[in-house]
Amino acid sequence: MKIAVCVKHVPTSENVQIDENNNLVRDTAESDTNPCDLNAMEFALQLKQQTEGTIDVYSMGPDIALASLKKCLAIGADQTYLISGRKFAGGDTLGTARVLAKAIEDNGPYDVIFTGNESSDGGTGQVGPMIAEILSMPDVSETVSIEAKDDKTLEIRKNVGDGNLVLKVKTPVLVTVPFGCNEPTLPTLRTQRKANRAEIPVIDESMVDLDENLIGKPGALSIVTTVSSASAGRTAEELVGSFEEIAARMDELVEEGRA
Amino acid sequence: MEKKKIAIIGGGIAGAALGFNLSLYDDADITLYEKNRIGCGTTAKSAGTVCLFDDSLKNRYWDVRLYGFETYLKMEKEKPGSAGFDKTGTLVCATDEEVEKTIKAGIALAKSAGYTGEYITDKARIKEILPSLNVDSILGAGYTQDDGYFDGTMISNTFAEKMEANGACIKRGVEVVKINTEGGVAKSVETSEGEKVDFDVIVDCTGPWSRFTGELVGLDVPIWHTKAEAFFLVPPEKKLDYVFPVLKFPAFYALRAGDNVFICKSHLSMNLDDPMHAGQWDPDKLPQVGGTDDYFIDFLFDQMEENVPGLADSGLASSWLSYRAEPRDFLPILGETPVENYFLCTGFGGNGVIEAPAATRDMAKLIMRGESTMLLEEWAFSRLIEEA
Repeated sequence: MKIAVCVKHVPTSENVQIDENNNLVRDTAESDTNPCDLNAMEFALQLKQQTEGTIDVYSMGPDIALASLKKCLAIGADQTYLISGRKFAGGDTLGTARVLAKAIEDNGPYDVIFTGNESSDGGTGQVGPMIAEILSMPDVSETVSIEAKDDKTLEIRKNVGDGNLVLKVKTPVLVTVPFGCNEPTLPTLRTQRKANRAEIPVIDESMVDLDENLIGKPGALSIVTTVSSASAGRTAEELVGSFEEIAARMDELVEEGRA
Repeated sequence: MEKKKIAIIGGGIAGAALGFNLSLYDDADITLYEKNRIGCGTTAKSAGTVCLFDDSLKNRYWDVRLYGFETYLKMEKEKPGSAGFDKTGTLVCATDEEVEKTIKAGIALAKSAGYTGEYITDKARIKEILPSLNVDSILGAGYTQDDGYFDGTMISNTFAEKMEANGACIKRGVEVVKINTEGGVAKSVETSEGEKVDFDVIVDCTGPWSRFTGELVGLDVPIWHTKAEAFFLVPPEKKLDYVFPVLKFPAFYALRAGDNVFICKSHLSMNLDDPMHAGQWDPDKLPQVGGTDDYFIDFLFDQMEENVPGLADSGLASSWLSYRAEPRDFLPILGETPVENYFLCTGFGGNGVIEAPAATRDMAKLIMRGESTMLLEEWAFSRLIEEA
């Protein structure tokens, strides 16, 4: 099977900068691979093994995203592509999905496309299903296991809250994968060193034949107007003293509606 | 009784140990300023190995090593877990005859202090202790079961607890933003909370931040940052089914971390003139995890293939980067400076956990009684000025 995986390189720190257009400054943020994308990668590796397939990985973002692509190479991807260009910047989920879908279409056709359920920064969960829609293929979300039954059929277990649905799905299909549903393979010293030396092709804006008005900032249907930090609204207080003092303080907290 | 007012800047292992040692003098009035949490900076990223014999600190300073080791053993005995001791033993590999000589001298010193130690040339026996090792690449190995590694953050917090019990004050989450001097004499500090406090003595224990702290009094503190790049490896079998001892090679060291192996390039193998190894950076910009360089993977893989092939195919679970504070001779800077009443207790490089107890014991005596020691004389700021 020919498999594609989309991964996103995301900030991992709370200390992120926002530019004047309310966009995240990604070049300098502490960052790593979006966690559930590694779960998606793990299912891709399982399918690759079952079907003697190949895996291509796509990541859209600045050069810093090369770290995620190198990690995927070290884990077992066959080829990776960085999709990067100024005209892609400032886009919303639809613009991102259009660019990813076009790059995947140009290098395809693929039997299976994997994405994580959602990114840990944006958290919309929209890009995967949008790619499926653009490429006119079905998508299966909340995948918890996947197995190739033959060259054209997958058996997918999909979590539906209290249980799993077992689906027989014909390829091509897009599969979105939640965090924690499997144990991602780790790169090793040996494979990471080899991956660090790999030349990763860049797909730039001249190589993606899309109307400029449909991508990047001009193509965005949603605009972030303000960004503010959210407080969890929780405070912890250690209660110390005698049993009586602690009990009295607990009474006060209950009175104040804080316990 | 009039008390000497002392400000300690920095609550890593050096600052906390100094605070504790000063608090043993009844005429010391101590305030420690830590801009974050106790033991959370470079100390938290330290491997914490205090081995009875290896090349991390020359045998010339054996007493410093022994004092540090025994301080932590007593801490553990007083309150189990307070120093985070993991008694794994240590295997120090002799890669050439010079290293072999150092190990053998270290073993003699350890035995002299009543500890066990042996130099093993029986390759099968070495392999029994550490099955992952390539015994063909070494002449032999020194081994003791008596030591292991400690936890720098736990130690710092234990020292902090003890100094507070002795009446010292710790200002957590408070940064010293200004140091006022008059006529070349350090007089007071101003804090991020807007306080201005007069002190008789101000001590910089900020390690990798010392260049910035020194600038507050116009002092050029001659330390460089060397990169301490560390990986947590998941062994190919996913689990260590034997006691992985602290493993020391001249170029790297490793120790167990749960079922994983922590591995780091040794500080003495860093070249201060190599911009990949050393420079002047801002420790506040260090990421919590990651940040390691590709060259480090190359280095580590070559070392593993040559020396510990059983780990060459380990999974890379995580990594981190920290900055060690290193003067040119890789020894700390202790004591007085050209700025009167401004003292340094910094530059411990990769040896803070080993050296802090003895260094701060002597620093406390100097500050409180004006009495120097041989150690303070050897590690004085003036040696670096003379060199320059």
